[in-house]
Amino acid sequence: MNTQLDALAYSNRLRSLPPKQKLFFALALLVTAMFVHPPIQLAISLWMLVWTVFYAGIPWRFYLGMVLGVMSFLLTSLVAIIGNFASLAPADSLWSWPLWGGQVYVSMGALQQAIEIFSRSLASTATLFFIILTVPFAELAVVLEQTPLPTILTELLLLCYRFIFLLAEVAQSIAIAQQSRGGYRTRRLALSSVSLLIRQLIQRTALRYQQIALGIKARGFNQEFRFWQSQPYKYSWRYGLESIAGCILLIIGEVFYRIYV
Amino acid sequence: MSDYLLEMQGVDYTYPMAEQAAVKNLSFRLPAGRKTALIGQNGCGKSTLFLLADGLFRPQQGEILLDGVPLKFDRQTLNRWRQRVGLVFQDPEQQLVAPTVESDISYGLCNQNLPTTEIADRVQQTLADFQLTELARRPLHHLSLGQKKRVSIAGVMTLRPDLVLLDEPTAYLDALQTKNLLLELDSIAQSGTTLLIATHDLDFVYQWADWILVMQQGSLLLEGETLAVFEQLQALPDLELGLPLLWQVWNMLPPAIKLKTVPPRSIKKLHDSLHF
Ligand SMILES: Nc1ncnc2c1ncn2[C@@H]1O[C@H](COP(=O)(O)OP(=O)(O)OP(=O)(O)O)[C@@H](O)[C@H]1O
Ligand SMILES: [Mg+2]
Repeated sequence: MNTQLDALAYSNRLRSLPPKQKLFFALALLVTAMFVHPPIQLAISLWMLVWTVFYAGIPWRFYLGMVLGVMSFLLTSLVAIIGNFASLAPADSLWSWPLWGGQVYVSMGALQQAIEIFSRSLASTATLFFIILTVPFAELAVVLEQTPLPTILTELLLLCYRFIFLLAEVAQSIAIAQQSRGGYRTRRLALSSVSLLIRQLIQRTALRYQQIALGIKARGFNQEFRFWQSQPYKYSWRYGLESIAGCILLIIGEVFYRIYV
Repeated sequence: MSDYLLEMQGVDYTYPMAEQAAVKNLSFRLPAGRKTALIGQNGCGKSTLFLLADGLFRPQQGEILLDGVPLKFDRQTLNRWRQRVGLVFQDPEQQLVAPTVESDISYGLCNQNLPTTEIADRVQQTLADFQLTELARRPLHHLSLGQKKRVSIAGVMTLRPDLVLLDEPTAYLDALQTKNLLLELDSIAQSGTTLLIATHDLDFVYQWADWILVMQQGSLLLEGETLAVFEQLQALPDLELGLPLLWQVWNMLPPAIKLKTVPPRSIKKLHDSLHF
């Protein structure tokens, strides 16, 4: 897991909002994004950007980097949807280029489809990032516990979460130790250093596992992982009103779009 | 209640695949209500002794007793035993399990099935006692090693055990936090809790402990009152455990300037014991 991402979730300006309020809001937008038309989906994306960057205070470079990262994956696959190949492009195609004795062309239908996929993915990515960046994982798990999901699942998620950072720390400390002794000076050395790192990581993980099992027992492990967390959240009317009013506007916008466009 | 809280009789323990026993024919008795220190060279078996005392390892020989009752290795006995004996590991990572500071401190309390309001109260109190309130909602992987150490100690202390075993509690702590920890340990000891601390810091032992156990190669070498033990250690220079600075200074001073015969155990007492 990306540690910067995690750090932001713990320090963003919306942390004091109840996670349920944020989750419910994001979920409502996610569902809306599935049914509305592209202009409304773009509005959702922009609105989420306002929440994430301006309200929560996530650095915009970091945020755009994440969004562009995900969207660039998508764009490459969109190319395959937009571009068609035939010996002769149909008359209603928007553009066409000759290639290998045939023609590559872009049809209106394919373009529309691509735009729909693009704007829908953008909107869902934005709502997902809003949650990831403003709700710390541990608090997310508390909400999950109140859902009908089996507790064993949330317990496992919490333990994995702790382990991931332990592993990351071990890997990092080995890598630093290797670097400080010149283990990555040449390509050949780097290769053998990496293989050493992986072997060490596996061994140390096994050891860590044994140690933590002892630690958990010593703390009175009782067949369950249960924790208590304080909930010093403050429901915000200002944010609550904006999210409700915004959702209503989005739906009105969609109705107008269907009637007039 | 007997005068001795924890007792080991002829305990042997060899790690799986190890050639030598880590603990060999170990016998000692820990007086109840004392501030006890466990000292000995690296690898002499201090951490192993703690793991045995918490019922985490099963001795291949010998018996471990709490209040005169021998430890049995069924789940119920172990659970009750571990409620009474708290263990703070040498490496804090080993016993931190929850995502945030406050939730980690609550872990042991949740295991005891206490009511939620009591858990909340105790966690808040412990956070305050250990100066952790500001870190309460921070994730553990954003803490420094010294802060993690404090969290791991707090998570055990909040359970109010009768006996607390602390493995190198002052490791990684700065001067201020060491002082705070000592104050906290003193107030815990005052409330009647027995403390056993493994450490290499002899200056700390000299000032703090009132009973000392010395281990060598898996067995008990010495046990007794602090001054008596250092008296004997001085006669055993081959052991190379070293001696507390205050003790050495006191023994170098000419008798003529000493007002008292008992070695002082703090700088202030040293000052009060001399005439200038
Ligand atoms: N998991 C293990 N497997 C095999 N041998 C071990 C293991 N852990 C410890 N030992 C050995 O057992 C002996 C006692 O180790 P222990 O950790 O109890 O020493 P210690 O007194 O706590 O040392 P230190 O002061 O360095 O913490 C040592 O010789 C050590 O090498
Ligand atoms: Mg040790």
